[in-house]
Amino acid sequence: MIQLLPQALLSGLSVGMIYVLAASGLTLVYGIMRLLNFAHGELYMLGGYIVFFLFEESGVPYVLSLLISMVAVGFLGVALERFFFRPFREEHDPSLMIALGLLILISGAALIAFGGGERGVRSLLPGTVSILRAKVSMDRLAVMAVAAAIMGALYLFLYKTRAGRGIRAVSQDAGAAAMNGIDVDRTIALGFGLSCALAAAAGALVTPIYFVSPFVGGPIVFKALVVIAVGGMGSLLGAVIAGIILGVVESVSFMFIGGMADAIGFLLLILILLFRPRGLMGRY
Amino acid sequence: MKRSMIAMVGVMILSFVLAHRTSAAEKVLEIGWMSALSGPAAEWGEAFKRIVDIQVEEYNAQGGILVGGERYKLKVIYEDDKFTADGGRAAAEKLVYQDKVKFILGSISSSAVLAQQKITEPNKVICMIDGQAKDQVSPNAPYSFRCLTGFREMTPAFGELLKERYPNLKKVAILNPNNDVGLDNQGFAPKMYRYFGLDVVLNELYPPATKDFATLLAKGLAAGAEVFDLGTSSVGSVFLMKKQLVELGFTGPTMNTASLPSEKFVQAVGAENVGNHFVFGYAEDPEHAPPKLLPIIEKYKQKHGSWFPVAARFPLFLDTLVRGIQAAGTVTDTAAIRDAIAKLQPFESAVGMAMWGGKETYGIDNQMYNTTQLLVYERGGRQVFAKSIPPERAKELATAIEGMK
Repeated sequence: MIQLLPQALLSGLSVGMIYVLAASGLTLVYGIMRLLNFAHGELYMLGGYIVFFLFEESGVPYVLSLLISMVAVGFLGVALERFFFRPFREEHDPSLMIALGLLILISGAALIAFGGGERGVRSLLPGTVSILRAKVSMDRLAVMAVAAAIMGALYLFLYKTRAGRGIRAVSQDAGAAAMNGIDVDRTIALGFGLSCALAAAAGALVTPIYFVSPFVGGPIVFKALVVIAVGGMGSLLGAVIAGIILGVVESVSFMFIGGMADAIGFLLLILILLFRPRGLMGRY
Repeated sequence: MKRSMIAMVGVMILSFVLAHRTSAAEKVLEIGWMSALSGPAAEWGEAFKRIVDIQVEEYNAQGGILVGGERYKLKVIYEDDKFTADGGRAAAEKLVYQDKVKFILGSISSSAVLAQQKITEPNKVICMIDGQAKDQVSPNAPYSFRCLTGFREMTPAFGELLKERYPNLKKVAILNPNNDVGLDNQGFAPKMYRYFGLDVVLNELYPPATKDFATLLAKGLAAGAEVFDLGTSSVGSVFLMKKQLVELGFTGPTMNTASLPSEKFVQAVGAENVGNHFVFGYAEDPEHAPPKLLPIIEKYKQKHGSWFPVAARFPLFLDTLVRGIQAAGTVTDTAAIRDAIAKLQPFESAVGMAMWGGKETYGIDNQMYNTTQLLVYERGGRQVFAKSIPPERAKELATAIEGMK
């Protein structure tokens, strides 16, 4: 069994990076709006479809398709925030209901528009490599590298730019941020759009290794919720650590308990919350 | 002028009376239908509906069906069961209590069927069903006839094919989703492979929402698996497992029981990766296709542009029901019709010869055995005929395997 460990770790790392990307957007929105955006998975799904139609169906280069999907879904996010969430910003329950409503609306519209089947795209980098006797496809390595690069860019944006510092300030105290001259409305819109772009990036990145269908959003948002609860609500670093832990733990547990592997993530959540109710790095 | 006016009015009255008399004389037999028209399985439900539409159009074009000397036009009432237990129960309640139908085509989802039977069986409504759950064919459900073969009836053909085509392969890994049907197959499949002299080196369940199978597949490869049986996995899981097996360097035979949408399978997995994957379906080339299926494929293509291979499974439902009704000579006595359907043995269906059986496994002979065909994907994405076994052989194998300890 031990000889399978490198395979499980590598596999878990690639899955974990997807969890990180999906959860980072979710935790960013929670930080600035205290909102659990249940529709986050549907934006992940839209990112996948945009890449499918641009890259697979229209021959647009993959990287350009990925960027277009991030920008398009990011702008969609800005519009969703402006017209659906902003009017209820101070009211927690209506915002949750709106997020749930958007989930149903977007997935239903996707089913009508794209049909129910799974759609995949051709391999970006055919071939596999062996690392410590574990085999991993070039596509997966590319996904891990691009996901890491996006997370690095996100870190630089949040910590080294004026707009990013504005998002962090609003997430800490929106009132104080406003008194210091930060346009809270614009900052929240930017943060929400960024979160949606991250969801689209995750969806666009997994399409070459998995596939996209109108139903991929539900399971990923479920995992992302576990990740941000374990990592700490609103903590980006927490999402990174918890995402990788969850991916690896699920993958390793597959070796031993197969059919029950999914439950391990939730067992992990319960254990961590018992000892650290705010999660690994949580502030709220 | 006056006379011509009178003549015209006379002709109008006569035509009205004649038309009225014709519609009064024309009898209509209402049949319920339930399957998914929304949700993840809507594609299957739509294909099922399209086949029934084509069949009804044909029957009605011939003046309807002849039962006990009277002609009945067919009218189908379609209900969306969403492929769920709740949807199945709601659809059955509407069809039985509101529309008062005596016959239902579908459902084809195990959970919907088990829920609908709570309504249809006490009301003696004949249901032509599909779905893989073992309990849906049972002495407690004598009015339900499973018109398609499940894994018990189909997969022995794959075991036989392995013996013939790959006599040197000995080790099989079996993977099933962690649900009731997967659990059922986890018990059956090892017996089937042992019957054909193969060793089962891995027999695992996985969470149904799994996307990454690399660890599980690597476990099978480490155990020496030369064949991967992907069991009752969903279409999406099969796509992922096949793709990930190729990534791990495995190019040996693989098989699954669910019908795959061929074009999407090739697109999602990659034409260069789908080789050596076996599926159950029906060949479309004139040399191997069941002769009665070809005109249906042609008509489907004319109406809907392209053929959806999964649709080959559906003509049996209405055809078998109509045969039973005609044999019983009644449209109201469902007990007599049930007995007449059970006596249709063997008969030529749209997908070749068919017969009832299953008493040894299910306690009642309401399971259809029909000609089983295995198709294989070649590298490059083409799907070709691989093997066919007649229903008698499928029944013989299923019975022998079920009897093993």
